[in-house]
Amino acid sequence: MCVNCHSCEEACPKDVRVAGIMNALRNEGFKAGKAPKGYVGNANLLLASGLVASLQGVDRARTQVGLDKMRMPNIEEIRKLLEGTELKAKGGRT
Amino acid sequence: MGGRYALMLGCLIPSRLPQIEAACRKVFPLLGAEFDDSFDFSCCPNSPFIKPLDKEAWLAMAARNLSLVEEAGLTIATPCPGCSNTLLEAKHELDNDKELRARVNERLKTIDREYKGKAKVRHLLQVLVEDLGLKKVESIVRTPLRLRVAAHYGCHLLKPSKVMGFEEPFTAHSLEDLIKVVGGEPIEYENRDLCCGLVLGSTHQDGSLDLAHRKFSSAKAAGADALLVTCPTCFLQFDTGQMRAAKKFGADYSIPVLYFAQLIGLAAGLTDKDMGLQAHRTKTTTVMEAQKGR
Repeated sequence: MCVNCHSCEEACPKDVRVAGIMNALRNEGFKAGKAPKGYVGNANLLLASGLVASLQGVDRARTQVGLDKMRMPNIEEIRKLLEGTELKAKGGRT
Repeated sequence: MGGRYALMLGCLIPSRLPQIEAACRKVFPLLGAEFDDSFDFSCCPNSPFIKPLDKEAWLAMAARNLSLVEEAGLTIATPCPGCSNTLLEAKHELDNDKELRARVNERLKTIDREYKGKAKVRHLLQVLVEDLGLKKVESIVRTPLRLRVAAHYGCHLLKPSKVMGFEEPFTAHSLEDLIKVVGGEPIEYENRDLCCGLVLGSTHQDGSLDLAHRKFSSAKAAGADALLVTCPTCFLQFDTGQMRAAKKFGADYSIPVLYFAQLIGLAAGLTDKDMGLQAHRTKTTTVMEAQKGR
C-alpha cells in the first residue's frame, strides 16, 4: 500500500531509499505481467496520445474557462523513443 | 523580479482541471512572470503510475522533456508537483550516473535529441516564493480574504527534499506565508503533511478515502474555511473525492478546495468566474462570500 509519498525516506537516519526499492519491485512485477489494471490503463493512455489524459469533453470544459483547445504532443516521436521498452511491449494498444 | 518560463502543464490540469490552468495564466502575468508555450512537452511521465511499470521508459520521456528547453535556456515552470518531481528526479539520476545518461542518450538519438543536463525545473509555487516574491503578491491584493485556510503541501512538491531543493517538508511554511499575505489566517491542524491518498484509489479505494477522511476531519476540527493545494492530484481527491468520502463516513465536511493561484487571483480582485470556481464540485460559497467582504 505504498503511495510513493517519500515520507519514510525523509525520516530515515540511514538514507534508505524505500521509494526506489518499492519502484524496482513494481518494475519486476510489470515484467512478470502483474501490474494492477489502473496502472496499465495509465500506460495505454500515454501510448495513445503522449499524455495520461482521457480527452472526451475536454475542449468543451476548456472553452468554458476561456482556454484554447488542448495541445497534444508529437506522439509519433514519443512512440519512436519508446521502441523496444517494456512499457511499449506490454502497455497494450498503440 | 519577473522572468520568462517554459510552461509545462502536464496532463491532469489542461484536461480535467482547466480552471487551474486558466487561473495560472491570469495570475502569474500580474506578478511579473511570462509563459512560453512553444515547447512540445508530453506527459512528464508520472511517478505514481508510469515509473512503477518501466523506469527506463519513464527516464527516456523525462529526458526528452528536459532536452526540449536546453537550447532556449529557459527554466521549466509547472503548476504540477508530479511534473516537477519527475523531471527533477530524472535529472538527478541522469546527472549522477554517466552510464545511465549514455544509455538514455542512445535512445534519445533515435529522435535526434540529446540530454545535456542544462535544464532547470521549478514548480510555480517555488517560482512565486523565490523568484517573484510574496511582496509582489502583497502589492496586488485588492480584496483581502478573511478566511481560515488549511495548507496542504502534498508529497512531491517538497519530497524527496534532497532532489526537490525547495523547503524542508515537515517545516515548510510558504503556503502559510501566502495565506497571511492575502489577508487570511493559516490554521494549524493535525495531519497537515499527510498524503491526499488519490494514488491508492486505483487499487485500494477504501484506504484512499480513509486518508482523505483523516485530512477533512482534522481540517474541519481546526475550523478550516478552505483547503489550499498546489497539486492537481490532491485537488481532484479533495474536491471530487470529498463527496465520496462524505458518503462513506456519513460526514459533512463542506470544505472548499483552492489551488494556490486561485487564492491569489481572488485576493487580487479577479472574479470567481475568472478563477473558474464554477467548475468545482465542492461548493465554494464561503470563499466567494469572503471575497465580497461578508
